[in-house]
Amino acid sequence: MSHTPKNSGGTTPTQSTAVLSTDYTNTKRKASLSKRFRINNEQDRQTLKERNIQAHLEQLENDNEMPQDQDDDDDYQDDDDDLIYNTPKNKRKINREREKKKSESRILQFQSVLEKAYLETYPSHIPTYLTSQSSPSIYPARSFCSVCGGISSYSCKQCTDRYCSPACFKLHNDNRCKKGLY
Amino acid sequence: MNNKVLVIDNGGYTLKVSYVPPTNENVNTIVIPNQVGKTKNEKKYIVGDDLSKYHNSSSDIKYRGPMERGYITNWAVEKEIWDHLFKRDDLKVKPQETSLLLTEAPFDFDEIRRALYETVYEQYKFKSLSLMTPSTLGLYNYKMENASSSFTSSPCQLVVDCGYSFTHVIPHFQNTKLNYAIKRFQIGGKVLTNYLKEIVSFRYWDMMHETRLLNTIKERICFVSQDFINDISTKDKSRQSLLKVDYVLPDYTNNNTTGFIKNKPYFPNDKDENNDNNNNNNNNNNNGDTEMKENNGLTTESSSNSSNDNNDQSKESTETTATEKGEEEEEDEQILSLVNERFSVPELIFNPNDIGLNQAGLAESIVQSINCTDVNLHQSLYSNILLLGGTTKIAGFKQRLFKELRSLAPDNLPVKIYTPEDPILSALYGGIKFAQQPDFNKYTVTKQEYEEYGYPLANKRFY
Repeated sequence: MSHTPKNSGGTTPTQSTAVLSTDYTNTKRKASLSKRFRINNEQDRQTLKERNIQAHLEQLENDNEMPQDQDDDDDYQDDDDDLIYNTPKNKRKINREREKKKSESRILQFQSVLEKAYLETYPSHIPTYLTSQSSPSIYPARSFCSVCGGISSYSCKQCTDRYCSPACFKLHNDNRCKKGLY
Repeated sequence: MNNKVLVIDNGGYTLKVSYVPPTNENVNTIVIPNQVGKTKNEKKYIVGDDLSKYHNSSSDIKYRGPMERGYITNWAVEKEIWDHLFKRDDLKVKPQETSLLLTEAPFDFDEIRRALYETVYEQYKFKSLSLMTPSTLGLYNYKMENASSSFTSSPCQLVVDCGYSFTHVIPHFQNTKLNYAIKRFQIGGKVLTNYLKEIVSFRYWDMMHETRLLNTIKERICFVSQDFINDISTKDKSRQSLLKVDYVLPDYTNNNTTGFIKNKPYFPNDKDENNDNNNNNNNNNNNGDTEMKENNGLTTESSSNSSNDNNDQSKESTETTATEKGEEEEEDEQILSLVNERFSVPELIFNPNDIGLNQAGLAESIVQSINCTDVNLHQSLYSNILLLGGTTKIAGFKQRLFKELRSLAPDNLPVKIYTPEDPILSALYGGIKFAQQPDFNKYTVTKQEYEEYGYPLANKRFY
């Protein structure tokens, strides 16, 4: 990585990657980013990382592409050019039928079921859903480049995603970096 | 005889149904996707076989499943599927005259179970109900099929159920599951599919709404690497081109509905597998013929791009098109070239930490589970491990698990892993065999009993 002067806040790819290795607070481009969103201390970065991972995991665990209760709204939007608020009578009828059918059968939300079960209050010798979770691994976590999938040794200062090379960092910075906006 | 028993294995991805026949010949099993689909133009849900047809003709469809994290939460959808199923010509279920044997995940919640009882007893009015975990049934099936093996004669076995929603490690003592030693981690076929979807959408084509197609792709191309770090960090060009697979995406014309692999895929562990088998034989000295047969079955399957049961027909058609199609149409094809995605996706089963999930992988979970049990059971648990569930069909799964487990287990204890012929359907077959038992009635709760004593009795019996 060649070194570029500190104050040359340019836009060419080689320069923008080089900026990272220097103290970027002085560059014009970075300074234009709102100071409120910048993450400066290690603790904030850690919490942000955890939050990112949690959001990612929830996305991976997702069973349905659309949320459960969005189903009915979908119908209105798809049909012709009708306004959402202006539902014709036959649609109302269909809607009513569906409502009736829905009220007959139970629809639960897993998260609320889990909360209502109060499994934390059980004594420790009773096996429950929570205690059956396997405990953390004895091996340290490995890290992989979020762009190409290879083994990575660096993490983005802004959003804590991993990357492995300047080329991958550029791709990450252009497309994926969340710039700490959380 | 008017006491019919219906067995339903309610999986996260597919639903497996069969009547219990008087004898074990020609069992008619039905496998349909446990999902409903909805298109833009139609108000009604598309269910069952129609859905698999739809999947083969268009990608413009939204899917909705009844399960959330492996438990049935949306009964509106589940009833839609069951209604369709019970009306089929080859089933024609009359609930009043039928007993139901249903599978459920371990540690089901009270609220979810109450909704289940309500639906089964009060809305469908089934004569009686029995709830079992799929792993217990799968174990039962394997024991009945291999009655004379050392696996069956041992007092305890360990079942690994690696399905669509999650993976369970469940030790059994004389056909009873040991609840206190069950371990679960949240990696299953679903997470793998979603992860592959995410990677592919970021790196190649945007396929965020093609979950079902990517599930098919996953089943055809993924394998478990035997030496992951080496494979992913290799800079060797020839090795990389060896691992590479060109998958032609479907264009929904010319019979190309699920896509196909362009060049014959290389599954690196085909060779390694044989070596490993020999090693296993040398180590244990008592691997029977059955085991070798199973392994051969596994290798042939993987080399012929094992795919979902549903897609068997479509697979045949795509294969023929692959050979018929000359080089003329090459320009129109959309090609998805995958290299390290092929093995870094199934790697999550062994290292969930790679995506930040702070849980131990499969091998470590097995060790944790066994350490929860009495010391005297350890030896027979380590040497009687049974793999169930669709995700275990990924090529190289068993070899990798053996390799990791061997290094974690105490070195004076033998490690031995068994696989049934069909890990997906074995729970259903087990259910059929279980219901043929003379004392099956002990495990059911009839409608009368439910009305008299309510759900506490049912909860007690299906502990």
